[in-house]
Amino acid sequence: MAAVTEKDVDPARPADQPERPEPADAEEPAPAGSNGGDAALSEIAGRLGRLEEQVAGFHRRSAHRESVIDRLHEENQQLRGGFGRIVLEPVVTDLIRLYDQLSREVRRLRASGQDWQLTSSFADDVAQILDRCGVEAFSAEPGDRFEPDRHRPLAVVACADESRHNTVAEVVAVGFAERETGRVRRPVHARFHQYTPGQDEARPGHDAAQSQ
Amino acid sequence: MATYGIDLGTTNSCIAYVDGTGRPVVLKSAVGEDTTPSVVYFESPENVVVGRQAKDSALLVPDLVVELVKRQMGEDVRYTFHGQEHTPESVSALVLRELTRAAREQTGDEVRDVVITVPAYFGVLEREATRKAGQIAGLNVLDVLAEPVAAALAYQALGDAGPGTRGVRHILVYDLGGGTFDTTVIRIDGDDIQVVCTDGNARLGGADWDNKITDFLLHGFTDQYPQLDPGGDEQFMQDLATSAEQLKRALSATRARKHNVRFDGSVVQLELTREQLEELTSELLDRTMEITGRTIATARDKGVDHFDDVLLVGGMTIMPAIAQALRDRFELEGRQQDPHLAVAKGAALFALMQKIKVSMPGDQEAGADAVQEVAARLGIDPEQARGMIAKKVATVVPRAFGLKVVDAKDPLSKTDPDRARHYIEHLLTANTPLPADTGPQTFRTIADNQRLVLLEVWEQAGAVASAELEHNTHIGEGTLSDLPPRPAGAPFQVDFHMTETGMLQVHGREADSGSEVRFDIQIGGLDEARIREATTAVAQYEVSG
Repeated sequence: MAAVTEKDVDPARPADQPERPEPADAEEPAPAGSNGGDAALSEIAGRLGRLEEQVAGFHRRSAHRESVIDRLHEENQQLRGGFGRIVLEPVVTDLIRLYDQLSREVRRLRASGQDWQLTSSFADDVAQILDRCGVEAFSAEPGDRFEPDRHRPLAVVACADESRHNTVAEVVAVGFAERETGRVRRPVHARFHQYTPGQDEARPGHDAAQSQ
Repeated sequence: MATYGIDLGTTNSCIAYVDGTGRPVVLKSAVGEDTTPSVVYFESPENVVVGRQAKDSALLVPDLVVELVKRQMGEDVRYTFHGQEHTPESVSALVLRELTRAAREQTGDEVRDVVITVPAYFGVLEREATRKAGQIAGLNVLDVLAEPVAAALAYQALGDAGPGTRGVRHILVYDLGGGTFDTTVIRIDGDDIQVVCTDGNARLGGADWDNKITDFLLHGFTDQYPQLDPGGDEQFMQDLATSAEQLKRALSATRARKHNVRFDGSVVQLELTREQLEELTSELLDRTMEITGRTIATARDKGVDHFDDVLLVGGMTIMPAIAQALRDRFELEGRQQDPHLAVAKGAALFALMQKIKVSMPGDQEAGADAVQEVAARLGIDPEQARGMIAKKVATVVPRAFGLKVVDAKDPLSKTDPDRARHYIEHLLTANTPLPADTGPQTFRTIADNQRLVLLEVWEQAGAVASAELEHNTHIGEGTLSDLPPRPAGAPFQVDFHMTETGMLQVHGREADSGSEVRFDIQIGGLDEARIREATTAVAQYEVSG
C-alpha cells in the first residue's frame, strides 16, 4: 500500500477513495443476499478497514506531531532566554583575549617604568564590558592548590619545598566564569611549583623548568 | 527507550541520541562543548577527571594523566594509578562514564543502551576491546559500528528505500578529524553493508593545519623583530595557537583575515588569505589525496569502478580546498553535513535501529507495531524504517588464522620432523565476513604410527599474510590424541569457526577412530573475570568533566 501523509487526507473523503462523480444513470445497488451484494459489502468492509487504519495512523502521527510541537515550543522558550549568550559567545572569547593582551602590556609598561595607567584603563573597560555580558573575572593566589576545573598550568617552576608541590607559583592571566551558571569560560592561567628534590628555588616566570 | 550513539575518538569523543523530534542530537559535555577530549586524569584514588581539564592537567601530573588510549585498544597494556591497575578498556570505560554522565544531566534519563563507533580498520580484537570498555562502564553495548558507516547513516547515504533493496552502491568516505585521517570505501548490496577497504594516517589531522598557521604568525612577527623571542613565552604561544585555529575556521567562510601579533610592546599586523593558507598547507592536503588515491586504487582492484556518493566527514573538511582537490584530482563531488558530529549522530540512529531489532517481538503483528513506532519517532515512512532496520553491517576476519604444519617437501620431515621446516597453513583468510566457517580441512600425519597431533593455532602478525613462522603469532593449541596406529600420511580433519565476537572455535577429528578435540580461543581482550574486576574498579570512581 502506498504511504499516505497527513496532507493527502481530506477528512471528508478517505485518501484512497477515488474522486469520481456518481453517474446519473448509476445502477441501484444489488439487494442484500445476492452474490453482488456480498461482494459490495465485502468491498465496503475492506474500504472501511483501510480507512480505519489510515485514521489510526493519522491520529498517531498527529499525536507525535503535537508532542514535537510542545517540545519545540519549550526549547524555543529556553533558547530565547539563552539566545543572548549564544550570540555573545565568540564576542566574549575575543574580549577575553583583548583583556589578556592589554593586561600583558600593562605589566610590561610597569616593569619598564613607563606610563601604564592609560592602557590599564582600557583593560578595565574591557573587564567591565565582559561583566555586562555576565562574565566575571576570578583569580588565584600564589600557594593555592591546583584545581583542574579552575586552573590551567602553563608551566612548572622547580621548588625545593615539598609542601608547595602543585601549588600556584604565579598567575599569568586571570580566569573568567559566567555569573549566572558559574561555568568557567576560561580557567586561570598560571605557573605551578613542582617539587624537585635538591633543586634550588627557581624564580617564578624566569626559570620555568617545562612549559606546555 | 532512549538509545545513544558514542563516537569514542582518539583525541575527542562525543555522544548523541535521537530526540523526540526524530532528529539525532549531540549532547554537550560538562563544560558546554560538543566534544570531550578523550583524556583521563586520575586525581586521587577516588576521583577521576575526564576531558579538557584532564588534558590541561597533563603538564603538572603527567604520571596521572592518560590520553590517546584508543591507539592501544586491544593490546595487552597495563597502567597503574594510585596502586590500581588499568587497561585501555578500563580507561576508555571512564571516558564513556563521563560522556554518559553529562548526557544524563541534560536528558534526565539514565544512559544504558549504546552503540559505540570504531575506526574501519579495527579488527575483531580491537572491536571486542571497545565493546568490553562499554561493558566495564556499565553500559549495554547494542553494537560496535565502523565510523564511516555511522557517518553514511547520518548522511542518509545508505539507501533506505525498503528491505531487500537491490542494486550495489559504493560510497567513499573522506574523514579528516583533529588528529587522524581515514578514507574508506563502503559497499551496500541490498541490506548488506560492508567495508571494502580503508586506509589512513593515524597522525595526520587538523592540528597539523593549526601548526602551519601558528608558524606563519610566529615567523611573520620574528621576521620583523628578530631580536625578540616570543617562541619561549608560553602564554604568547598559547594565544597564538588559539588564534591559528580561529583563523583556519574563519578562512573557510571568508577569503582573507587580518591578525595583530603583539609581543613585548611590538606589534605586526599580518593578513592571511585563503590562497596563502592553501599554499602553506598544500603538503598536508597532498598527503590526504595520496592516501585517497591509494584507497580508490585498492577499491578498483576489488571491482569498484565508481562511487555513488562521496561523503566529507570530520571538522576539517569544512575547508573548501578539500572538496576542490577531490574534484580536481579524482572528479569526485563530495558533500558534507555537520561533518564533525556525523559519526556520533549516525551511531545514535543506528542505536535506535538496533534496539528495535533486538527487542522486536517474534510475531509479525507486534513486529509491525515496533516498526510503526520507530517510523513515527523518526517521522519517516514505515517502509523506509523497515529498510533501515533490515540493514546488516558485516564484520570481517581481521587477520589470517591457521595451523602450524611440517613442510612435507623437506627431506628432514621423514627423518627428523622437529628439525624440518615448519610453516603456517592459513585456514581463515583476512576480510572473510563473520561468522566464518572453514568446513573440514584435511591434514595428514607426518610419522608412522603417530598417535597424537598437536594443533597449534597461529595468527597473522604482519600487515600481509605470510606462511613464515616469524610473520605469525602463536595464540593457542590443543591435542588430537588416541589416533589409531597407521602409516604416515593418514588423514584427519580440522575446521575453524569464528563467531562475530571473535571467538575462534577449533575442531579436530579423526574419522575412523572417532577421536576429536575441541577448543576455543578468544581473540585477545579481557576474560570475564577481569572484566568483572575492572567493572568494580571503575564503578568506584567519582567521575567528573
